[in-house]
Amino acid sequence: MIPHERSLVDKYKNRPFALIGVNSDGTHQAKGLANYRKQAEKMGVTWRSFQDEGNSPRISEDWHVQGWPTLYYIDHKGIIRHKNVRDEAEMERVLEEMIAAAEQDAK
Amino acid sequence: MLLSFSPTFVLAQEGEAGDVERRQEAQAAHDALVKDLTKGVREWQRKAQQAVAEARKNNKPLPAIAMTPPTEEYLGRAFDLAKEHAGEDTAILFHGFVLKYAGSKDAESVKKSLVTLTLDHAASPTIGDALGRLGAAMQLGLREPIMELFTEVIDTNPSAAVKGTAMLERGKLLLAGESEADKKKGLQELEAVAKMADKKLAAAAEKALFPITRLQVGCEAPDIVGKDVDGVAFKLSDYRGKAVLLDFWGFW
Repeated sequence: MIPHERSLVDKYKNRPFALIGVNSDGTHQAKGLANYRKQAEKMGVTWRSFQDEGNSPRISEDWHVQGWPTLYYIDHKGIIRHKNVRDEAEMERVLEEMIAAAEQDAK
Repeated sequence: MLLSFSPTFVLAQEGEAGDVERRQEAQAAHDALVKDLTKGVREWQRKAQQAVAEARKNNKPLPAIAMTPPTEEYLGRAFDLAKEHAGEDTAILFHGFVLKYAGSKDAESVKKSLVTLTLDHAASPTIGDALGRLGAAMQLGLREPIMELFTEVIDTNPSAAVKGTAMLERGKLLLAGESEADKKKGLQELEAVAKMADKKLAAAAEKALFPITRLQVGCEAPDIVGKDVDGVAFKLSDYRGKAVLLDFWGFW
């Protein structure tokens, strides 16, 4: 999961794409944050994540997340286009389509 | 029993004092039961792990381990207590225990509790507590007695709030169900509750409907306003103009 996401961030770095996480490692507390930083360094996680905890209710609770990871594909206009596409080739196919649409509209 | 710590008890009128005492006594018995069950299950887990470790060490085949924790004893105690409180509102606590903690082999016990709640307690002001605990019963395939309980509460309970709670819980259960027909019914029920004057119930229904009304493909994504792991505030909508992959994740 993470290595592939790292490659997506790299592949689309000059295009209208963002990988945004909602992270549930308890980074609202010092211990969770320290662990997060250590792991992020090791795994090369450079993208931004919301803290899931520390919100009431938690974002994942608000979004009725029932399993991790849960994925939403949101287009440049803010519309949910796909959910939980996990196959790597399929992920890239739908993202390419969404990124191309964003580029088209930006012209 | 010494109850001077309880302001409710001190303020209670003559006659209500007995009720309060009875309720606290029942609650204490219920809590003790939960504690014992938790301990029992933990002990069962420990023993199972030990047996596996032992077998590995001696290169023996792994022992057969029961897939479900030993709940029978505790359910039996809950029924004894329910019997002691039969016909009183306090019995609901013990049937609630059965509904919540029953395992996959306890369908008969759960059915017994459902039937008792339907016959004896559908009009009680505290039946709502039990109605939120029916997920396990549904998993056990007890759809029919569950629906009878809901119907009885909605038909006979004098409190509008309790009736509304029954509709809310029935809607949630149906929406989470397997069949398309159930899902549709659940959706309609929750939509009706969402329009009720009772603000708390309406909000709970809205919340249950949220994945249907706001999180489907084609919906505008609800905005997220929060902080990143470094404590910097930002919003999901800050990324309009870009294709966003939103990932609920963790390292664990």
